[in-house]
Amino acid sequence: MIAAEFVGKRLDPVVLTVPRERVIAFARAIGEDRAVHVDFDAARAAGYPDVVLPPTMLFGLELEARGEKLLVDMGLDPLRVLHAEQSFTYHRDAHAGEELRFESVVADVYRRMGGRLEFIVQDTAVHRGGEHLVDLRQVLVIEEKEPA
Amino acid sequence: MTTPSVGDRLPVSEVPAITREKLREFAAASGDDNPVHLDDEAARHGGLDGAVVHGMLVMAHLGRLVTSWPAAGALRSFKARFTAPTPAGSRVTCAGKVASVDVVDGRPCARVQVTAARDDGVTVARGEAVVELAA
Repeated sequence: MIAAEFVGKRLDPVVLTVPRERVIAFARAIGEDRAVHVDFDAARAAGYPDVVLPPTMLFGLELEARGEKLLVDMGLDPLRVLHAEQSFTYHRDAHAGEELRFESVVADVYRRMGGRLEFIVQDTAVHRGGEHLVDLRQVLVIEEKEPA
Repeated sequence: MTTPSVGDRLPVSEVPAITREKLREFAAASGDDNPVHLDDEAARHGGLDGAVVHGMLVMAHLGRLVTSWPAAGALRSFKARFTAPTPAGSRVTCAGKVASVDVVDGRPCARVQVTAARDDGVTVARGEAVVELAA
């Protein structure tokens, strides 16, 4: 059972810049071939400063930067934690080469199915300088190995 | 182009088999290298039958379904629930239909309900996107 004091915990901000090649590699990995995601010249011609991050890319960048520390701190085995839900609310596009700042909070922890499933809700706001780009909400779930 | 109507279906997208090679490529490019997606043994330790496709890769394919729709402009929001595991090697079918068309902040937007199903017909993700309608 995850300690109640994790609810409301603010995680240290993550600041990162996504290289152009990384955006293109992500686009290729998801089968995305629209030029604004894979072609710098086409992105510029369309009025963007660089290639545009595909809409779900921000999720993994934060995960990669943070690793599994929060789950380990919570006493969980990361191999048993599954992704239950994900949402994105878009305010502005993010592009390669920009400094992005991720600010995250553990919004909720709750149990369902008679306590057999435990859910962790994390909310993240992504900013570029003073501009609010995207809000993410991820819901993770872990199933108890043995009924309590 | 005619304005989309409630009930309109988006062109179905058939995602070819999501091989382990594709999962390794996605893990490296996305930053999600959880071994449950790459290693059967790790996946079994996690209570699965074997390595499974990243939920976020399924969601990315659902996103492409929406953004490649000719009526689609900018995405306003996008959410998905992952409802069943997708074994490595699965083909996935992505489908969507228009649930509502409304003016949001002065622009016409469609709310599109999307689903992804694996080879055996089991739904692996359900979601919803709100997308501006291209002028």
